[in-house]
Amino acid sequence: MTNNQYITALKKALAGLDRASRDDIIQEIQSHAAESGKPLLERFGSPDELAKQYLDGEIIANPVGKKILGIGKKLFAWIGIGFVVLIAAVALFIWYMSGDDFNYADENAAELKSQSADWVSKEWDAPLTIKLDQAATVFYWHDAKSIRWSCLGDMQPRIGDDAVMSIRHSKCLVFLPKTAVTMNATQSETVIVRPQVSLDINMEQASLRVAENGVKYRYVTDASRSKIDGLQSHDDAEYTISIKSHESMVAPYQED
Amino acid sequence: MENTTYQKWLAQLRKGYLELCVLVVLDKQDSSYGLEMLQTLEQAGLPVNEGTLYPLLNRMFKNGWLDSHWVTPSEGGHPRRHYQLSDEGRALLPTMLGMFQDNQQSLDKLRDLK
Repeated sequence: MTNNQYITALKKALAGLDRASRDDIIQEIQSHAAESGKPLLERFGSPDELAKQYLDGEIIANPVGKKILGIGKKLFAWIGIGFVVLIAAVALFIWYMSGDDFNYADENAAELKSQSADWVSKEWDAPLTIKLDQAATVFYWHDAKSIRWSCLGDMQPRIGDDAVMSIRHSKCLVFLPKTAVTMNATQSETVIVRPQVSLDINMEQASLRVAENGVKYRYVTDASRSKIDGLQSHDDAEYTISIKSHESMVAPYQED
Repeated sequence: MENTTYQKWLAQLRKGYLELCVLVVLDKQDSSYGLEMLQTLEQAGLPVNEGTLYPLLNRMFKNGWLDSHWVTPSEGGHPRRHYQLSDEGRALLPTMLGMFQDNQQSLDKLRDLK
């Protein structure tokens, strides 16, 4: 088995992982192969065994029933899987967001002005990448040169030296400074409330709702197997929201 | 001793131990990548299979113990995925080291029993 054949087989065996994780794994192993110059099969064992190691403990396991699917049924299967994932994402979003009657689009809500210890603040005045992984997050923008957040969940957000803010397995309200922002959302539910900067948003099996609150935006979308509905793009808008989505949904925010 | 049984025991023992060793390596080196870590571990007398280390790094990253970023070598070539301790991993390391040393002391006491 050549290294190329090995990589192809490994990609198939890792099909149950989200795309970002899978791409990182494949790129890392290709990098190792190029630098070590040794056959992958000899060093890593069989692709299936290696994939099993990676998939151990993952939330998404191997695609269900993959072995019994014929080639002609794969397209149908993917559509079905995408649909199920979308439904699950919507259900998760509703579960997260409808547990209270809070109107997340209300920027003047008393909850957002709270000075309680639940709120954490960090000075920030630089471009920021936000990585959302199985999180439910509402983003607001403020004039301060800081990031301010309040989260429920075991894991608090982390901001690394690489200017990446990671929010995982949490439900958060987050105020951002008016600096460039890139959001990478995987299996997450996100609401953005009247963004005051242009945004680059990459979504994988995620949902995004936009509370425009009277502001016009230019929307640039690149979508595959996604549902984008109800947002009107204005060419003369001050801010551009670029959305690249895969198996995701985007819609205006409406109070539940 | 049944060889496969021993191999299973060894795999279980090494899993947590290897995670601790990776945290120690990254505590000493600000950041490192897979192949470099394999060499470091081997030089320390802990040869590790690639098929063990890379999934383990991925799991530690997903646990939030490590951060990672891609670095293109100055001499060119494929980008390398560099890992470094996250705040959570750095905070966890002393506790894990303490636990390991406690276990070692307990084992020493048991072996000294008459």
